[in-house]
Amino acid sequence: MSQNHNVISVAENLIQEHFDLEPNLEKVIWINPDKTTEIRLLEINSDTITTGMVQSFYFAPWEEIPYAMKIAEITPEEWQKILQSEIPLPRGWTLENHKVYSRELVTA
Amino acid sequence: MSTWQNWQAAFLKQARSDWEAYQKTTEFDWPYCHRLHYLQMATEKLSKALLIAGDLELENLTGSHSAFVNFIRAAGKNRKLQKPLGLKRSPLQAHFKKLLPLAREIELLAPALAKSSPNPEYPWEDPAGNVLAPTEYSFPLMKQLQKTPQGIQLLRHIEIFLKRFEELFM
Repeated sequence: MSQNHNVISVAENLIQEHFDLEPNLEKVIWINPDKTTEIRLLEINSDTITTGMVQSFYFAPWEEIPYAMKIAEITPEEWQKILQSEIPLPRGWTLENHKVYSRELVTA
Repeated sequence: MSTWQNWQAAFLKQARSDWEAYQKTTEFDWPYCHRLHYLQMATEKLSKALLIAGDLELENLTGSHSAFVNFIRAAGKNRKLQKPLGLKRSPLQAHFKKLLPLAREIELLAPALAKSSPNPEYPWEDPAGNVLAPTEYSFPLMKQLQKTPQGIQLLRHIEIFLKRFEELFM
């Protein structure tokens, strides 16, 4: 199994799990899915609090998930502001290459 | 040139010092405002120590006091915490969700977020027009932290996170 295939499988399982656990999770944006060493996720969740910024938390690799992860929860309003470039993404993050996951997509 | 690791170490050092100060205030009959002030500062810096590793720009870290609620939400996704906290696999997220209301109250102690509500640093005006000093306010939050299962758990977790940050989060 290739490194790329592994990271896709790990990321998509994780995204599925987050949809299962979070009833108000609307979308997950996987930033730069071609990166095989780190998984960066933007989670659009109406349950989260508005901070006016993208707070991405680091998750170290470990036995169950052997990739570093950075996950940020944002509100749907904050997502709109990101799309309008009113809220910047964290350092090194870009929407030039991303995948969007919806609840419908992962449960299909 | 400084690296994010230098900043993380410094935030963590200060968070641990704030926590030590919080614990010292529990040894004496000090007004609750002082205890809560140190607790709020310790939790904010603990959260920011992890955010620094998440590519956040430094000016965003120092320009905002919101971080602890999202830190607790992130902890609910961190399966690495299950064993050290003695939690079973499935309820990890549910466990941390139960702690969110108290985490939010701690976060809102920062005067910039509290605005005209009670906070441990500056006087405020209550709805009846009375101007109150933090030192004369009873802060129901303190009792919630000390007497409720959620409060006791949250304080225990904060202590573990601070003591074992490198092992649990990095």
